[in-house]
Amino acid sequence: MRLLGLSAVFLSSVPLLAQTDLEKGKPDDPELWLLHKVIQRAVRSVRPSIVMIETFGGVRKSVAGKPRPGQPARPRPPKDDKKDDKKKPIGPLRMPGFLTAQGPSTGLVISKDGWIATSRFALSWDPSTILVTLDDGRKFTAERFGEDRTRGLSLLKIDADDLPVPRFLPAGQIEVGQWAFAVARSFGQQHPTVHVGMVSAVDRIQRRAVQTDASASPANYGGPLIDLEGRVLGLVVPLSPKGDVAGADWYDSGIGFAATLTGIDDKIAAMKEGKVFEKAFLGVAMDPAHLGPGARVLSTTKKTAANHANIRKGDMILEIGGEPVRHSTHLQDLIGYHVAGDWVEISLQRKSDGAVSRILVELGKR
Amino acid sequence: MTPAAVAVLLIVLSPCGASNTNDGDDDLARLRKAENRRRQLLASLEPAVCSVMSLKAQGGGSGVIFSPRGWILTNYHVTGRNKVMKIGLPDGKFYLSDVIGVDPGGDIAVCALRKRGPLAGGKWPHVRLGDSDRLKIGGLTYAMGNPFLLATDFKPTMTIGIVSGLHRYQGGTGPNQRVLSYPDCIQVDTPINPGNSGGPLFDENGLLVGINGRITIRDRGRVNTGVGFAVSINQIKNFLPGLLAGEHTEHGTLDMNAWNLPDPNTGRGEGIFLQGMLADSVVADAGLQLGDKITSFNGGPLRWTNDLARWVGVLPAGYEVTLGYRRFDERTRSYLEERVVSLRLAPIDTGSKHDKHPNVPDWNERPDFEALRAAEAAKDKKEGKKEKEEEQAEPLQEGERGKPVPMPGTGRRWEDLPQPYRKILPREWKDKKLPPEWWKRLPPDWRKRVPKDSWKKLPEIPKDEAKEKKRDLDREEALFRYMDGVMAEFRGKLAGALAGVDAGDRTLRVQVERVAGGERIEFQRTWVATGDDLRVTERGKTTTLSAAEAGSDLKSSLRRERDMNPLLQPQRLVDQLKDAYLEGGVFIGNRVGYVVAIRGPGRRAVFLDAEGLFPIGYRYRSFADGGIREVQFREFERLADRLYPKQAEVRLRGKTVEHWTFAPAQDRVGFVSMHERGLPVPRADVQTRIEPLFKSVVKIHGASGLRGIPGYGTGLVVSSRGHVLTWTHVSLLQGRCRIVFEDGSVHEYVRHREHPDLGVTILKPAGDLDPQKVPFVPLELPAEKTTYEAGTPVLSVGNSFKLAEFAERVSVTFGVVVSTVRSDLRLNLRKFPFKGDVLIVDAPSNWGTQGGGLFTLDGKLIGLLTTLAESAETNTQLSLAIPAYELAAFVAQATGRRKEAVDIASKRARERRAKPPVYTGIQLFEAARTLSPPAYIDRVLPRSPAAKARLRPDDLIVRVNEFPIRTCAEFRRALRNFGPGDEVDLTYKRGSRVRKVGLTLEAKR
Repeated sequence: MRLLGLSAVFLSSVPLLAQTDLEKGKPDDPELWLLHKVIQRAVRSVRPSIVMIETFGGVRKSVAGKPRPGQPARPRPPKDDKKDDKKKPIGPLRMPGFLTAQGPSTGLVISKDGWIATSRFALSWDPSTILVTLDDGRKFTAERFGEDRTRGLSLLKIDADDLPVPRFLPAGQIEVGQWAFAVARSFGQQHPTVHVGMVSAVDRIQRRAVQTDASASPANYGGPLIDLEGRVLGLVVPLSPKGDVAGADWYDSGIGFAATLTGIDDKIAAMKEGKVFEKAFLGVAMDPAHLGPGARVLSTTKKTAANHANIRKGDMILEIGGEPVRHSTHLQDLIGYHVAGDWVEISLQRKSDGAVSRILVELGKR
Repeated sequence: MTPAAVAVLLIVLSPCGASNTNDGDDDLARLRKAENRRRQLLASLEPAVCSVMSLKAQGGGSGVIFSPRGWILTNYHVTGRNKVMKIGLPDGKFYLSDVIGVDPGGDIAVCALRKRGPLAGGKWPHVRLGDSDRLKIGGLTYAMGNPFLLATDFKPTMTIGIVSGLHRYQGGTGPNQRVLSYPDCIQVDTPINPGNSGGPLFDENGLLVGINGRITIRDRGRVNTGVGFAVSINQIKNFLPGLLAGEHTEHGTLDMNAWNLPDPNTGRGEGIFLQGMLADSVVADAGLQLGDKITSFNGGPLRWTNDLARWVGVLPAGYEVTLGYRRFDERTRSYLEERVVSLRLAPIDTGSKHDKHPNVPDWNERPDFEALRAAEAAKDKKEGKKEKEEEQAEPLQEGERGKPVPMPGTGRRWEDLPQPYRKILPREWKDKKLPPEWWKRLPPDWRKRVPKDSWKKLPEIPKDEAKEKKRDLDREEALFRYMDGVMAEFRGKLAGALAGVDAGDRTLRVQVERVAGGERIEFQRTWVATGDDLRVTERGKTTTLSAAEAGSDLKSSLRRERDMNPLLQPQRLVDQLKDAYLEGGVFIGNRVGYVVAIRGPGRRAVFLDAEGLFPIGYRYRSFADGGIREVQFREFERLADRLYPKQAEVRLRGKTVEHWTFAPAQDRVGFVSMHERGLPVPRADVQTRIEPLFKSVVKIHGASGLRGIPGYGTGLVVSSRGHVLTWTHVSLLQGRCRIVFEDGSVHEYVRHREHPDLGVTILKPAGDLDPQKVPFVPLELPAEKTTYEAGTPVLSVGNSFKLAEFAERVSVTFGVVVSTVRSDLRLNLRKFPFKGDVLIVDAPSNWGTQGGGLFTLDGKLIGLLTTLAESAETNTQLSLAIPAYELAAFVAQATGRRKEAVDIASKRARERRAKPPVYTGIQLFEAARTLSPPAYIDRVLPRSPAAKARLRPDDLIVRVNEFPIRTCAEFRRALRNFGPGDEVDLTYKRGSRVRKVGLTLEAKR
């Protein structure tokens, strides 16, 4: 009996509740409600600069990196040193256990005269043909130029003039907690796709990227992350502190990165010349139990910068480039601010005699 | 024009209205304002969020500082059995902290930072504890932490999302799922990933409402899939006093099994019946028998066993609860009146692996004083003898035998010496290095004791050692006895007070006599509340505090007394007393003063300052040497109608090691409640619109699935007769299933109609479903085609991972429409029946959400969630929904009252069959490889359609109409969609130019 009565109350009250609620209009905290139109406007302002990138052909190696356990190592093709570096800047993206995507990808116009920035992910197969479709439907074939592997960026050039360049928000003005929309064209639609989130952190991946909880996946790699007004915060790319190719395995997990494009004009200029920037690698393992200041070397890897510079187990790294090392994690950052080929000054306290010496090291590749 | 073209057109046109732009301006300004508010809020919370790592291992988790003293809440699975954790704070530095209390059962640990904080007075930036019971489904939440240890500078990752579900029960691991269980957790779609463990979950006001600790993952590995769980802060508050007291807190249990069963006695209705218990369990002691129907818990009615599991799960062992039950009387064939028994929860054994954290002292341990005395006596005798021998054999004198005594303590500081030495040595040496040969200043018999090797081994008690120890043992034993006595007394008083107070009676007397530090304190306090006045009588002196005469100070103090003092509110007394021991914390100046709770029998107690019971002493564990110290207060000063200590004596192993003095007026000495009052209430958000949706979304339980394929799903009520629309799924294979409505009632359903092209099924009730008895609201499906622009905010409602059972609410996640895409064109989905426009959303799909609803924020149905689709295009899993307008016609037909024949034969399948193969005259360059190469034309046959269109070898085909062509295989597949005579547009690349040409297809020759 009691149950019956209860349910009767439910039934009569429900439509009423729904009605009054809807009549009231917008509720007190309309933040989520307000998003709709603002997103539309923001996307509209940036969409002329967003292009679709389709790739054809290429080296379709899905797994070319380390063999998985139990899998025999694949013979690698012999290295051909004679090949023109400019023409073929990279090999296939190594991503053990993760297949690369074959669908269209996204790029962003960064200059009027046809330079387009995109994610390396889209070009991981080293495609023979790259087709770029502009917002107005025009199609171009694109040529590939340099790249920044520390940011996961690649540069394309199409033969077009007067392309619309979006507005950028300088990296220093991006704040944690602001809305962020990832816009892309990966499903080949006229209207770009939108993923919503906020800026989760700034200065991630050695101050090269902002972090967002908007879903980042092959569906929007290469597209811009924009703010409420349509200003570009960065380019959505798969990144990870682990290396220059990982990160895509975190797709749609709320951990996404957008490589910042402001303040790297010199790098972009070099990339237009075909330069490839790679992650710097010192080659030391640090003792996690040492809390700092300084970082204590646990071991060094053979054939690395550290090995060449004769850094030994037990040595204490005190400074990098004049900046004191706070702890081992900080050391990774200080090295990470550089790219392979940079020379840095390292202040080192030898374990053997306790003497502090300064050495100059050329950082290598991984 | 094809439907796809229409959709595209609409999408392009729709945002062009002028009114939209104005609205947008307004919205943008408001959103900016809200965004700024959030930015400031998050920035203010950031300094208290930290990374928690063990000293050795590479992994780690997160944590949050919740007190100015530098106490950190984190997960037990982050600290484990480590004693010391390193804490990375957003200033980029590491700090050391000690694990001081653990709750393995509830996956919580508390660490204390060793250093004083950077703020004024040595305080740490900290967050405020909120009230998790005030959360609403749909409310905004922020998670912070260090997922994947991304933050090399320890600046936390902050993510936003909504509350997807409340009061979720998630079993733990180990025997009976007793370790790391989440009995009453908060489910959020706020992204939480490995490394977020132990990090804070904040509500929109920035109050700490939970500790993130768990996610449910799919087959793609350890990343967030939109389902995260946080231990609710209200559960943590129940354990916090114990954790701060340095305890290994234990969860309570009733030691029984009870099940939701159809009534075996009367055959009508359902109930919770006691099906098993331990012979010596607390319920058996309380008089319950097998087969009893359990009706209430702690005064609240009980309907599902899940409720019982949840309510018991958040309580510590020793907590007093009431259980109501009804026994079936065989003679009268009816249930007896409900009987309510009061019992104490028994501790759960969490398993030996988690017992005895190395940092946690065993508070239950009682020194065997007799044995200790005997041992002392024996030792004294022996040492006394030895000493004499030593004295005779080796009278150590300075410079004797030509060997100068090394200089112990040289270079050390005065402070480093044991206290007895400091007493003797000159005080001018304080804060200075010890002079060489400092021991010469010692009396001759002391000097002998300074050993040769190390100053560190200075004997601690130079003289009268045995005597003092003996005396200390006596005092220690007395203290133990005394504290037990006080505790019993306190409990007795409260129980007495409880018995004596009923509604209307507003008088209460508490009388306590105790001896503290040799002083006898008699204490009697009486409160009489009449109207707005409060009369407080203490030691024969009566103070009347009246609102009229007292002025604002007294008024507020009066109000505070009335608000804070549960004893003055008879109606709340029962509730408050239930957690009387949970409400407590003693802050004494800057000293680390730990709350010690008044716990079950045999527990150490330190005191609550509420109700005039000032702290007279407590015990804590020192970080410096790990010793357990007793603090006893002496001399009290009255301030604002409370007594505060002015002096305290700190004793270690019976010896006084420190004296503290307080200036009560300046030092913060007082009572701090864990349950803060006057917290900001979360604002109403979308939850008001969400609430009605639960009456339309039902849980489906069908055939148990194969491994990895769930046997459950979600459905939408679509007719007034209770028809349910769902996605065709393995769980419906048997043709019969059970459907659970919002009220928890379970109904048998059978398959009614299935549409193979849409991939949906309509179920109907197996029997009659009385709409009067089952509270459901049928949903309306829009009949006209509607476009949903990318960026439209949506709610996805479905029973992901079967997290909701019976009357529990299904999960709600927030997202936006990502895009509307032709599923056959662009997604390259495998085994996906529906060919047409689908909605891609960024609200995650999970196992069990298939058949759920996609709603706009104002509660309108816009789509039916499908199974998790894997797109070969992006190589990712996508959340898809079929637009509701596509289903409207089928639903109307299938649920119509008229029994007309429904044509559900696959129209598209027939069309497809009707299309004969076509001829283009294009031969592609296709080498025999495992992967199909790009569609380069190898040959164009003469007089073919391709020749007419002037295609040439080496042209690269990239499109056929809107079908993207990346490979030769895709070209062939695309042509299957057309018949002879159809005109298609072919896009191709020649050189670096891209062109388009029309092609009229011919029948295959």
